[in-house]
Amino acid sequence: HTTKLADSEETNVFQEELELFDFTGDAIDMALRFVNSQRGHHCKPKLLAKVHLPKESQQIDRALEAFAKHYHACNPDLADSYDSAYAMAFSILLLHTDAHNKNVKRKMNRDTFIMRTRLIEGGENIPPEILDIIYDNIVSVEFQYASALDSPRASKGTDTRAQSSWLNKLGMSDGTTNQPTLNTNDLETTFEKLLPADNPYDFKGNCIDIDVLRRSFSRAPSFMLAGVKTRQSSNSENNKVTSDTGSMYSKVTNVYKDNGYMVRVAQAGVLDRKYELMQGGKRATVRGWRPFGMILSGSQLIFFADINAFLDWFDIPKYEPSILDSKSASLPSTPTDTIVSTLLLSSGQATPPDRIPSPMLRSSTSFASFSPSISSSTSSMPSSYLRPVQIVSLVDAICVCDHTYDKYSNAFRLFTGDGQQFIFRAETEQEVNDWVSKLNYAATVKSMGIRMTGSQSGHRSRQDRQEDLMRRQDVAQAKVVELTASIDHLAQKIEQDSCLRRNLIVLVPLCKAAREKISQYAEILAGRLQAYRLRVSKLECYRTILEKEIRSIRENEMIRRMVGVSLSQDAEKQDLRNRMRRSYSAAPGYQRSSY
Amino acid sequence: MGANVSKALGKIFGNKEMRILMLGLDAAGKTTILYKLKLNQSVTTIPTVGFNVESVTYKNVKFNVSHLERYCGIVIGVWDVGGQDKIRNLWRHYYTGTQGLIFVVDSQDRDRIDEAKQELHRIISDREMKDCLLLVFANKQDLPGAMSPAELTERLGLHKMRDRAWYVHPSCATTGEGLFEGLNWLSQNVKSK
Repeated sequence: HTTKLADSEETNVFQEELELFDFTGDAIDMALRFVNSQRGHHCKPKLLAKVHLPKESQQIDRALEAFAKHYHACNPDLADSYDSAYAMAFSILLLHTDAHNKNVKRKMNRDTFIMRTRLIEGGENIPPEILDIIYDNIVSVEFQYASALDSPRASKGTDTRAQSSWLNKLGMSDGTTNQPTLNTNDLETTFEKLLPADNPYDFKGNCIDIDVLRRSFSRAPSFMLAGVKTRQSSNSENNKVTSDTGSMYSKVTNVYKDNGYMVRVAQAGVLDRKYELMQGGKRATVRGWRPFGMILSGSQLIFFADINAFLDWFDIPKYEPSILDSKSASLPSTPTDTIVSTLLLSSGQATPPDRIPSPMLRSSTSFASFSPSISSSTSSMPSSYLRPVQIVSLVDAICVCDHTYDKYSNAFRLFTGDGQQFIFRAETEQEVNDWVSKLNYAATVKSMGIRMTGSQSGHRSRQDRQEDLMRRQDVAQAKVVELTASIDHLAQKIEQDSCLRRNLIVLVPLCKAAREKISQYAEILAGRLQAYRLRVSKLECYRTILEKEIRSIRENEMIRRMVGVSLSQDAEKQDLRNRMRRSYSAAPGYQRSSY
Repeated sequence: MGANVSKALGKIFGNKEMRILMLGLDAAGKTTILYKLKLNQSVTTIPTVGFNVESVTYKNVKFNVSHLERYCGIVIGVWDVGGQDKIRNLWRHYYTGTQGLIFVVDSQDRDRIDEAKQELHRIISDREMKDCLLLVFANKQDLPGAMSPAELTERLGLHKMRDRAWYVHPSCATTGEGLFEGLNWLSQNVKSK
């Protein structure tokens, strides 16, 4: 048994030597190279005896076991288990033998390598992308022995290789120079931008004050909005059912005949807007920054290009009309008085069937009423014509601050359910928080199908109300469970991709093909990871809001039983106006933008 | 000239190329056998990092002139494979297309003969190994207390094996005794492709 004893001794020596390597942050194929050539940038070559990878399968086994343990210990976040490190190392060595041993006649191809690696226990979860790149690395550059590197014969050998010079240096460089890193500098910067370590999206969960939010919707003041083409009219035009969301109201032909309607404004303001992606994720054609008047009404975000009219509408004095007029010149000048009077006429009690708000409008009436019959508030309407340029549905939408976006401060992104994407710029952080939380609240309520509390509680008995609340709580609770399951599922996918990300980042390309693949995979991964992260942010946001809502329903019900708080709508409206005035006349925000 | 002769001989006897796996417990002597077979072939000064893979071409071996023709053109690719359970699934892929299995047993190691038996049966029961020849080297015959080929045949349970061509041959890897006789058997029994 002398051979066996010698074997295990050798293995022990190998293990001891291995401890001298620090593999932290090394890709596994490079770590194996380093062990063999004893040239790792972290190791102290002088301390090492001439120990290299053995050649008999059983010895290789033991050596790789030790290697995998040590590698896993150094990089718990790169190799998720000892088993996967072992599988990877073993398969790499097999591939290396296959590719560089001239006695192997039929060479293994890429797919076989990937398939075989995943056959080894622990190898099932190794991302094929990583294997793909490692295949190129192994096949293109052979491992070298330390002794070979020291001997003059070796230098001859490397000369004949005559690939790009730095490849030779990779093996020849001494322990202190960090050759591979130098060559991947530009890759690293790409990674930092493309693949942030953490989720960059922040839905401002800690800014959500559920009671304030609910009140801003349930007591949103009503304003009259004119000239929106209803679905009926668009149907009559081209018999085609138009999408509910984001329809561009560029045609003005039907404006005069159309219904005016009331919108209940939960939030309004002028923000700088950049249209990034259109429906279906296509790049928007006009992508410059431009200020827009925006109102959040129910589950719709309505944009107005004519800022003067917009501010007028809210009874806020215009500024710099000379500048603004040039921009709004393209809009049709409409005799506003006639429009409003028509609207007022049509908003009588006897609403004809064809005047019933279109499905598009009704779709958002779950908590904000567009019914023209609320004539009480119409009296306080400023008479001004205002035509929205775009209406965006907040179904399945999410609004976030993006930490990777540092071009402007106080910017936030809106992603809609149909793939549209906007960036907005506000004046203050408070404003950002206000918009983000309200948009998200509206999106949650709409997407989750949860009815707003207090929106129709007026004429109900206490008993009914109680039951209704309980039912609503149950529905919300069920949605929370559903969301949690989806979030957990996503979290797994994100973890998988994060692992791929970490591995991709540490890879050192040893040939052009590998290098190109790394960038290619990084881009694909970035897109996927971004989508997952955004989605998880959305679900988490919805869940947070629902949970707060449930808690609040319980608490508020207690209070409401004792005190009947009821603020008048007019007071709310005045409050909104005051707020608008404060923020837009004090700081003429949109003047900043390139007009 | 020589090349032409071997080409011609290759045509006559058929260019046999065998895929052979050499397996066995550790320390049975596989590596020694492998390199003994390469006796007179040039030794690579900087061997490839990784597993032992050798192709052994007999026509160059000045072993027995009378056997030269018979071995002409036979190239044997020998993979030294083995290891833990974890990689079993992987090794199965290396079994594919194997025409001959050389199973090396340490004849002196009575403690592990049952282990060797299990290993052997596990390998040859694999679907991929269904048709391959089995050559067992009863190695380390020079050591005292070595089991005879007959005893090994018994201990390895080869008698019950009826649907397969098998052969147990005594060998001593360090001196090279018995190795080529074993390969001779392989080359004679291999179905030409």
